[in-house]
Parts: sequence; C-alpha cells; structure tokens
Amino acid sequence: MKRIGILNLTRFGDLIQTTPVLAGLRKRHPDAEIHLIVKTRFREAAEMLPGVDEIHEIDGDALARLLVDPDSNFLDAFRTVRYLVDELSRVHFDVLFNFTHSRTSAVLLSLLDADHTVGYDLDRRGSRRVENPWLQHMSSLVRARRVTRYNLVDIYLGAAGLIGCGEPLYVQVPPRARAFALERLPANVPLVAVQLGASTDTKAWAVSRYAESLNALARLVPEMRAVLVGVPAEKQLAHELRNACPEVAFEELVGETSIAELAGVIERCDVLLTADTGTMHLAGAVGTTTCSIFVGLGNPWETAVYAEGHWALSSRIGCAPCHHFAKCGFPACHEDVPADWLAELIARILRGEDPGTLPALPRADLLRTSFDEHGLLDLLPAHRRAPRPHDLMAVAYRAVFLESLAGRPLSLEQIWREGERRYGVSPQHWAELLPGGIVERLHRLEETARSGEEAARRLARGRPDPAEARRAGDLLRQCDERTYDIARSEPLLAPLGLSLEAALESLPEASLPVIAQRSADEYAALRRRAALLRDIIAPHPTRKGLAT
Amino acid sequence: MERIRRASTDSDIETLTARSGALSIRVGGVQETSAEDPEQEARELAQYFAERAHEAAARRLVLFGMGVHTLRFLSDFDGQLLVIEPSIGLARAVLERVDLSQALARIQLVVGEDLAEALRHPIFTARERGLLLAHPSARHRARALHDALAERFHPGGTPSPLDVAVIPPLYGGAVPVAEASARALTALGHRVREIDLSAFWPAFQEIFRTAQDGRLAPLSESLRDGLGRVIGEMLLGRFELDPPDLIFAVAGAPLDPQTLDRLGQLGVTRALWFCEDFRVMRYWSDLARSYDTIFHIQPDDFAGPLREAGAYGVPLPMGFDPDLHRPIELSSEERRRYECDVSFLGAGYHNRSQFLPALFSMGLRVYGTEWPLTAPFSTAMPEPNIRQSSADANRIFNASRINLNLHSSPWCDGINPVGDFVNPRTFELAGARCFQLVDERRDLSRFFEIGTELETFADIDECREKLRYYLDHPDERSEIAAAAHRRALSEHTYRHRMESAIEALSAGPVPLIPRRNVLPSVGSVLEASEDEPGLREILTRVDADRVLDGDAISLAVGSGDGPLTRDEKLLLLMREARSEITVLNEAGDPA
Repeated sequence: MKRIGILNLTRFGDLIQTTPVLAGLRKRHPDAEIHLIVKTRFREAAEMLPGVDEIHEIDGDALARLLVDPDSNFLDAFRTVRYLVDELSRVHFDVLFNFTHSRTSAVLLSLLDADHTVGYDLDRRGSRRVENPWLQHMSSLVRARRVTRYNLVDIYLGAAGLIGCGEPLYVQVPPRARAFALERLPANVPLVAVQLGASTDTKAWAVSRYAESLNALARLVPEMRAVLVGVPAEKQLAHELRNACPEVAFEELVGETSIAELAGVIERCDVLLTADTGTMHLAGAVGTTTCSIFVGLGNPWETAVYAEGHWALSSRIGCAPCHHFAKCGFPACHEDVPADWLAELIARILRGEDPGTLPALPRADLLRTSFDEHGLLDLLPAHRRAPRPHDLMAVAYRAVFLESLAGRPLSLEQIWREGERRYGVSPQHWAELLPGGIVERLHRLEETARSGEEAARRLARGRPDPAEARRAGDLLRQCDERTYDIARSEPLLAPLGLSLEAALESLPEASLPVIAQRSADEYAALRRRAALLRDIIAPHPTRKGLAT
Repeated sequence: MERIRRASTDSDIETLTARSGALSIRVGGVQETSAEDPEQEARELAQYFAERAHEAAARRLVLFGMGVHTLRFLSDFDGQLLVIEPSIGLARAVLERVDLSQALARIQLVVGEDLAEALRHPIFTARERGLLLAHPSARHRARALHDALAERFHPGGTPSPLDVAVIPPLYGGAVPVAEASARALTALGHRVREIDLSAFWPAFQEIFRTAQDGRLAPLSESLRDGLGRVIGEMLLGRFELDPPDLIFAVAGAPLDPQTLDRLGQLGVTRALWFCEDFRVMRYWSDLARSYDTIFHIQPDDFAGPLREAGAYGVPLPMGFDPDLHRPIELSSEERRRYECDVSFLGAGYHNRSQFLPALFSMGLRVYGTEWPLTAPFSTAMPEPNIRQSSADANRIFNASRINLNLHSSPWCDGINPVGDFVNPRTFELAGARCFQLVDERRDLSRFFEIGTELETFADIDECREKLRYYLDHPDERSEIAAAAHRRALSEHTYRHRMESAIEALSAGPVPLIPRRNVLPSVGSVLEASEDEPGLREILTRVDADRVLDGDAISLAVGSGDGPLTRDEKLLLLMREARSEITVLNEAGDPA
C-alpha cells in the first residue's frame, strides 16, 4: 500500500471524527502516504490532524461563487471544475475512502484515480452505490435512528477495517494556539466553555435554556467564568445570552478564534457545555470533558464524543431524535433538562465528583461515554430504567449487526446479560416487553429470506434459459417486496428491511451468476439476523449460549 | 440637512390638501400619497413595513422613499432605520410641512439620487444589512437607484427573467386561470414552474364524499386542512432545495399561512391572484397577511377590506388566452353539433337557474355542469352536465349567434344588482370574436365600450328584447364582436395581465428581484463550445432551447449509452455542487 486518500468535504467536526481512522491506518500502513482532501475553509483543522502526509484543498467557496455568480460563464465553470478534478487526479491512490455523505462527493470520487474506493461512489450508469457494508449500514442508522446504535466513528473505522482498534479522537494543538488561549483566558478560575450555535438550528439548544443553566451554575460556583466560543454568525446568540445572565462572568471569544485557537481555548477549559457540535468533538480530541445536550436532530448514539468519560443528555420524549426530514414546530425536547439540575451536573464535573449520582430526570437520560468489550463506543445510562421497546431491540441489533459486519461471534447469553445489566430484564421477559406479533413477523421474514436465498442460489448455480431467469427474477422481486412489507409493518424491524435494501441497491455490476450469488448471500444474512433476533426475544427452551 | 434646506424649490413638487385635510404631495404630476386620506394610508403603510421587518427578524430597515407622513407612524419598528429619499425637493417639502422631529431623532436620512453617496452608509458594508422596503411611489420615481441598492441586498440580482412557481387550486374554474397565467409568464420570458396538483384532487373528492355522511361532516374541515398541510409540506420541500423568486398562487391554491410564512423566510416573494368575489369566498381574510401582494378583481370595494386586514392589494382583472379563445372555422360536423341562436355556457349557479328558463322558448341552449337535470333544463341541455374542454367551449362560442353571459351569484334570483367585477367569460367571448349579451356590471365599462364592443341587459325583459333585435341584425352583431375582439387582443390577454402583475410586484414595497443566476440555454453553450467535442456530444441530446439547469443535465447525461464518460461525470459534479451550494447558502455553514 503506497498511497491512501480520504475524501472528507464535511465540516470540521466530521474531520475530527476521522482522526481514529487516520491513526489506525497510520499504524497498519506505516510506510504509506496518507492524503486528505478537504474544503479550503477547513484546511487549518486538517493541519491539526495527526498522521496526514498531504492535504489537498477544494475551495468550496470559490466553486460556489463560480457556479451561482450571474456573471460567470457556464463553459468557464465547466473548465474550472475539470481543472480542479485534473489536478486532484494527478495523485494515484491505492485506496480512496469517501467519508462524505453527499452525491457531490460520490461523483468526485468516481472522477479521481484510485485502484480501490470505499464509500459513496457512482456506478457506471451514474447511480449512487455504496459497496462497503458498514457504510451501507448508515442508511439504517439514518432511517431507523431509535434502534440502530453505532457511533459514526465506529462506522468509519468499520469501513476502513479498523473496528475496535482503540484509537481515540486526537488533534495536535499548535503552540501558537496554546499561547492565544493563555493570553485570553484567566488562570486559576474554573472555566466553562459554552458553544451556543450548532451546524443547524435543529440541533442547537435554546439560548434561554443555556442562560437559565449558567445563572444557576454561577450561584453554585460563583468564581466560574463562562467562555463563549463560536463562529461570527453566533454573535447575536452570545449577545442574547449575556443580556440574560447579568450575574455571570463571561470571556467572550465568539467569532474571534481560528479553528486552531478554538482548540487551544477548549483545551484550557475545564468543561464544555454544548449541543451536538463540531466544538464538542474538538473538546473530545483535546481531552476536555464535555456535557452535551442532544436535542432535535442530535442523537448521542450516532455522534457522542468518541472518548471515555463524556456526558450526554438526551430527551426521552417519544419523537426523539427527530427524523432527518422532520420539521418540528414544537421542540419540547429542549425543556427536558432542568437548569438547576444541569448546573449541579457541571458543578460536580468541576469539583471532580461523579455526576452519575445525581437523581434521575423524569424526561431525559444522562449517558456516559465508554467503550464496550469489542472496543466500540457505548453509552451507559447513569440510571437504570424500565426499557422502552426500542431500547431492548437496540441492544439486540447492535450485537446482531456486529456479527455480520465485523464477524464478531455473537453470544445470546451476553446479549441477555446486557439486557439485565442495563434494564433489569431477564431473557424470558423480552417478548412480553415487545409488541405482540414481533416473533411471528421475524419468523415470516426468516421464511421469506429462505425462499429468496434458494431462488438466488438456483440462479447462481445453473445456466437458466431466459424464461427461467425471468421466473427467478420475479420470485426474487416478490421476496424483496415481502421483506420490505413485513419490515415496514413494525418499526422495530425496520433495520432488517433497510439493510437488505441498501445491500441489494449496491450489488456489483457483474454477470448474472455473480449478482445472484451476492443476492443469495444477502438473503442468507437477513435470514440469520431474523433468526438471531427471534432467538433473543423468544429463547428456545433447549438452546443455550452461542447462537447457531 | 443643510443641503436639503438650501435646495431650491423643486418645480416638480406640488403640495395639496387632501380631502381629509392632511398634506398631500404630487411629484412630477403623480400623486405621492392618497388624495383622500394620506395619514391613514401612511399609518397602514408604516404598520406594513414594521410587520415585514418583524417577520424577517430584521434589526435594520432601509426604507426607500420617505413618504409624506409614513415616518411619523413608524414607531413600532425599534431597530436601526435608514431612509433613502431620492428627491431633494420632496424631502424639503415634507420637512418644511410635516413635524418629523421625533422621527428624525431616531432615523438616518440620506437624500439624493447619488448611488455612491447612499452606498457610503455603513449599513452597506455591514455583515447583516437587514431588510430593504420601498414606498411604491419612490420606487416608481427612482427605479434605477432602487434596483442598484436592492442589488446590495440580493447579490446576484439582475433585471433579468424571474423564476416563478405558479400554484393552482386543486379544482374549479381558477385552474385554467393558473394554466393561462403560467403560459403567459413563459411567453414573457420568465422561467415558470407549473405545479401540477391534480394528483391530490381524488383525495379531496374522497374527503368531500366522507363529509357527506352527516355524522362525519364535522371532520371535513380538519381533513381538508390536513390535506392542505401535506401539499404545503411537499411544495416547501421542493422549494427549500431550490427556491423560486416568486410564488404566484391562484385563488384556491392550497397554501396555508404556515407554509406561506416559511416561504417568506426562504426569501420567496408571495403573490396571490384572488380572482373570486371577496364577498362570497371569505377565506382571503385568513391569508391576507401571508402574501406580499394580493391581486384582486374588485378595485372599488375590496381595496379597503384588504388594507384593513394588513394586505397589500393590487387590482388585476381577468383576461383571456388568445391561443384558446379565438375565432375559428367550424367543420360541418361541429356546426351540426353546436350551431344555435343563443347559448349559455357556465355552472348552474342559483341565479342562473332562476333566470335562464325564461329564455328557453327563444331556443337557448345551456352547456356546463351542476345544472338540475329535470325539466325545463333537461330539454335545453344538449350535453347535460358535461364539463366542456376549453377547445369545445370555444367551438360553442363560435357556433352561437348570440352568447349569453350571466355572472354567477349564489344569492340573487337573477342579475346581481351590485355586481362589480367582470368574469373571464366576458374576455373569452371577446377574444373569440363572438357577440355577447352580458348582464350589467359596475366595472364593465372599464374594459369594453358598451353598445359598440358588447351589449348588456339589466333585466329579463331587456335581455329578451335585445336577443330578438340582434338575432335579426347579424351585421351589427359582427361589427360589435369584431370591435370587442380588437380591444381584447390589444388590452385584455393574460399576457397583458401578467405584465401588469410583474410590474406591480417590481414596484411594490417588497423588492422582487431575481436572486440567482439565470442559466444559459443549451443552445448558447453549444455555440460557444466548438473546442469541447465531448461536452457538445452530451448537450446535443437535449433541446437547444432548454435552459441548462440541473434537470437538463440529468436528461442529457441519462440519454447517453454505456458507462459515464469523464465529461458526463464533470457535468454531474457541477449539477450536484450547485444544488448543494443552494442548500448550504440557505442554511449557513457554522461549526
């Protein structure tokens, strides 16, 4: 392996989330060059990432001007885009990862010169395809958010074949950035960094809630300084916060830091109070404890800080987290963390006490980041509660998919132990806590998958005449539809349908036998998952231990 | 201020006393304010400006034109206020005669037509410039300065064609109005997105059927609202990805205030053509504040209620489409089918079903829907309750010696004694060069000369009498029909209406300026790309007249054979990057 590329045209938080992959790849391929392709505005962030040999920039802002400026000429724009791609194509990659979830990045990936690509790509006809099973699983992560529980960093690591490699988030804070922080922040007082905005309004916690919490915190820790950080567009929010907190001592740095300086500032702070933001990941990478409020679109299972010992608060409201296409006019999840309680939590972090002993909140979960026995990020609830159906299913799915995605052996007893440990549910009570009919649906899924698998294997083995091939194709289509129908009929089973759908959409462009063989494998995987879930929910009285 | 004081008296400025006794000013012979009650007008305008600023959460407001009394009433806006008045003469006249001392303490005033001077104001270099609103009269007086300033608020804006989404209702007589408006806007060179909502019509009918069960009737409203929300969300989803410059909704369009508010937040100008009788259809009051402009067909009586409801109203009469309604030669079969002395085409409203039977003895034929199918109508309807297409309607018009036109009314027994607006049928019959006998309407003489371009009747006796007379005088019929046709073609097509509408929107208080690059046509890129054979090969797959937008790229690339070429992928990359930028620009891009 000579040259590895990573295409990441997202924001700086996502860039920081690729640091475990970078470190893992560096260890596995110590002699390979690692190149990073990023947007120009995040070059500074990219320079802080360890293990990168070369950074290539795409000036997204200039491209934006070119493509939307009324004075620009279409042909000029076409030639500029071609020049940009040609320049990037001068580098030959042995493998090129695409960790950007956009169609733009898929088209770009297909234009670059790489022997092997991993991630969002185009097929020869221009349709988007994702061959890597971990990244395929993203569609379940995105569309069945309540039951699919993997951190995005683990998905990246899985895609790179590095799952459980133990690499943390990490950035190198430049000395000048540390000097900036030293100069701008007072010494010997507790520093609570506050990031008010987020990449979208649907993730940002209300300013009024921050204000109430800081007012309460100032009463508990009067010597505390609130360090306001953020981009220039968030100055108005900072202004509103300061007006609402006349008793709180502020150090305002909103719009005054580069990304590196922000890293230096956060490193100097004792704790960061934030929603789901890039600053949150930065704090994880510089070792500052975070207390993150996940509201709206934010889902701690997907994007909590990829490091041990951080705190995430998540509403227990029935609609949380929002669906990606939801537009909420009544964000009640903002109200579920009381200000006094949150102030006490931050005060305990500042005092070095365990926040986990705070009383449980009626409408929110306090979760602590940790790593499980497979080295994947886990969220441990500070308080044991009766599980909601999706909580139990999430435990099962996490193990079932880990088996098929990473080949980790699955032990039914371990899953049941997990159910007991988290929720106090013994194996024989799983079924009664889940919706009626779920076991029967799983059985039907298993049977449908078996039919699909057999039809696909027949197609793969034989040399069917056109009529036979058509019949087999029709049968497979029926199996697909039946699978999707059953999975859609019970939201808790959605990941099974979604995973099959994602896999079949990305079958390789190959001969019929090869495609048929791959389809058979996917049906076999579905059958296995459905059978395992059935065994977990309704254990066979004579079967124990390792699932077969 | 000194410069204003020293300015010589502008001969263009006339100061007058309005009927209310307040000061009124005329600039260059054009009334700057209402001649009736300029203070009341100013109060309403100031409220409108303050509300728009509030809706846009703007802390800075740039007001183009100072008005005469407006600034006195703008106390509801407590942010930073910059007023740019192009006319030094007007500024002087106002400052000398109106007490603006309190207002001037909190506003900044820039006077004159010097763009450079106006742009020196710090607001034009600030990151958040706020909102630009205009007094329509000032915009009319100094259009170039206004547009140059508006360009600073809407970068990329050029006086070029607009991107317009025409939103029709789900059903009814306003659907063809929406279709005709879309065609007219296209003919005027604008990019028009015709939104087809016909797929939702069966759902609406099902709701209607459900509500016919008396026990379920109370559900009807919430079901209709629910369907409206679904449609609104669907449209919003589309427009959030690629916002048009203007939403042009036609009466009955299923857009609720929430949807319209969110469209406003996207920076889309929202206009409604309320081409219905405001006294009969009352839903306008719920929407009055949600549209930037409401076009309407009742200039005398509706303007007041609209103003009171906080809307900016502009009269826009109905019209006709000369491609649909035109003189035609009928085939012998068509003649056999439709030819008659007198016909009436329209829906079976109460007043019509009361009035028309008295004319059946004169050979009146009735076409249209929603008529009683019992006697006497059963004998007078050759095609009972069949919805006639526009083409068949035009055949019926052309085959009738006299076309009767009776405006609908749900409460009168015959002719509406207070009927004001003119229905589309009047314009369509004129456009088809057909002689028409129409009930008297207050506004009719604004559009046609009665007696020489059409004939009217005030009651059943006059109607019978004129029918008899004109059936006996075919030459007079032709002469009148030809005169109406000339007038209609020169003044009353939908193209004329859309021109007026766009002009009114451009001169209205909310700037309407194309916000994005207007894309080139495929043909123009083909012409310029002689040395790009790969690109040319792709682009020749689509119509050269087509705009080279994302859809055209998809079509061109998708029409190719085999694996994608490098140039095809580059075009796809441009398409994707462009759509991503549109979304990002709307959302901002913080951490």
